[in-house]
Amino acid sequence: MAKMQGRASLFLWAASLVVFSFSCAVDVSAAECKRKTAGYYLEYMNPDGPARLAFSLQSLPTPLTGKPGDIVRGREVLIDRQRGDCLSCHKISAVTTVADQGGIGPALDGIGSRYSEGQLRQILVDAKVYFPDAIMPPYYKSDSSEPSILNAAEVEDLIAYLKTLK
Amino acid sequence: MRGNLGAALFQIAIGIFAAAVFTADGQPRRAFAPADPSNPLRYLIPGEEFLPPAIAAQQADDFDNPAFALVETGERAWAAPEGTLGRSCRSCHGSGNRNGVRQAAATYPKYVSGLKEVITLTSRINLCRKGNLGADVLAEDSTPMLGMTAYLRWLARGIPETVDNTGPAAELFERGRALYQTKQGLLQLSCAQCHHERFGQKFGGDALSQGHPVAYPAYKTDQQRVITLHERFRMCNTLVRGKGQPDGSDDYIALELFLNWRSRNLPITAPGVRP
Ligand code: HEC
Ligand code: HEC
Ligand code: HEC
Repeated sequence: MAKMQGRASLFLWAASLVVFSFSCAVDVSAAECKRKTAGYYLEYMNPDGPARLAFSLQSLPTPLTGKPGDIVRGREVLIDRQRGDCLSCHKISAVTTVADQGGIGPALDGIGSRYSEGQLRQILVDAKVYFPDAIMPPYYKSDSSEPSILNAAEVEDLIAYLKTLK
Repeated sequence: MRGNLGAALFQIAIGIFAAAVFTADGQPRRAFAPADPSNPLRYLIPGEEFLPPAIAAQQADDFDNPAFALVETGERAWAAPEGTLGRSCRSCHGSGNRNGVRQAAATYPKYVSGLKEVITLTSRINLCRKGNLGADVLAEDSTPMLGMTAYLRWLARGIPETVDNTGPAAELFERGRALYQTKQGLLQLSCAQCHHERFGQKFGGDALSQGHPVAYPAYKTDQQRVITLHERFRMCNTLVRGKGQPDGSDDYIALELFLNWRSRNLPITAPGVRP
């Protein structure tokens, strides 16, 4: 009897495993899968896995301030909870002073070699150009009537720092 | 023999209603089936499944749970006469069992026909204080109010959430549903984008849960005090760099109603413990 009970629960676990692995096996795009499973599958899609490399050619090659930013200040903007706060959502192994780094966006290790400067600027200003369903916040608004999270100089400083992550 | 068969059948039943889901590294998580097919979540995963195990254990143990002092405050207040009419809550409700008071905390926010309004548990407590005790109204986040809500929520521990979102409550419910999907704050993120689409992922040091309200009020370890559900809403508003609202605002009651419907079938686990 105990054995049967054991088998019954084993069966159940196996069944739920099967249901879970097949709920998205047959299909299609990640976005489709996300909608279907309402997030459960996301746990399997490692955000740190293969980089989501942007194929769009659109980029913003000219610095918003007309001159290059400062690497040291850029790192401060990135860490500062009131400004960039990038580490709530991203991991960067080069930053060892912040313990609790998030996993909502992809890790930014090596980001400087994955994207050109102009592409990084585009991602910070409006990531939706590359990732249409992006939740990566738009950090800079040139129109002064809209609230901007960062100012132009802070964006340029950030880009200078991101470029060092090779 | 029959006991064993019963146990096996019980396990199968649990298997149907409380399946296990698996994380990326194959760890099982407890999960419950939602009460309604229209629930956007396929499985309801209790908030404790996303906590460090030590904190979840602390919550489950009444002697270890720091919020329990507040439950005891509430229990004492329940039996203590107060106000001009010389009564205590116990005079009418007995020792927390009569008039359905044990289950009550699992059914709020609730429509009250006399008021033609959907009210929260705190408002219900104040109604009884004013009308039935002749006592003053307590602030939503005052210690005696937290004590009474913690006590009533603790009485309902283990009882599945059963809030009613139909009839006269439907309008407020739809408002809550809409708010849940509205992008908010400077970061322009909706509640759903974090708690529906990305639970299990890490936001800073916290693993995002599905954002169920069933453990509130809860002891917040980093602040060493008990917080209300509405204070948790304010904290989430701050995370997206938006503006919070005071406890008991219409928007927060609407959100509370929607969240409770969304967790219908999850057992109440208040008072919770959170990092
Ligand atoms: C609310 C969470 C969040 C915050 C905060 C955030 N990001 Fe992102 N980021 C994302 C997500 C998610 C993606 C993936 C695209 C998407 O789905 O939005 C992303 C994508 C990126 C990418 C492209 C990565 C790749 O491999 O394609 C870069 C670069 C980036 N973010 C930089 C930053 C910087 C710099 C900051 C701080 C100024 C920041 N992010 C803050 C969530 C966030
Ligand atoms: C004079 C008797 C009386 C006293 C004293 C009294 N109540 Fe009540 N209470 C009622 C009645 C009657 C109802 C049901 C009202 C209704 O259904 O409209 C009620 C309803 C409630 C409910 C909601 C139950 C539900 O199922 O929705 C709660 C919670 C409650 N009381 C808490 C308290 C608390 C806390 C106190 C002490 C501060 C208290 N009551 C004192 C008579 C009393
Ligand atoms: C940037 C992501 C983010 C957004 C957007 C967000 N939250 Fe949260 N929320 C969190 C984090 C992080 C926690 C703490 C860890 C956890 O339990 O998820 C949390 C916790 C909660 C909890 C407590 C869960 C528990 O078991 O302790 C509730 C309820 C909640 N949020 C509701 C909301 C509501 C309602 C909104 C929309 C107004 C919202 N959240 C928006 C990140 C977010």
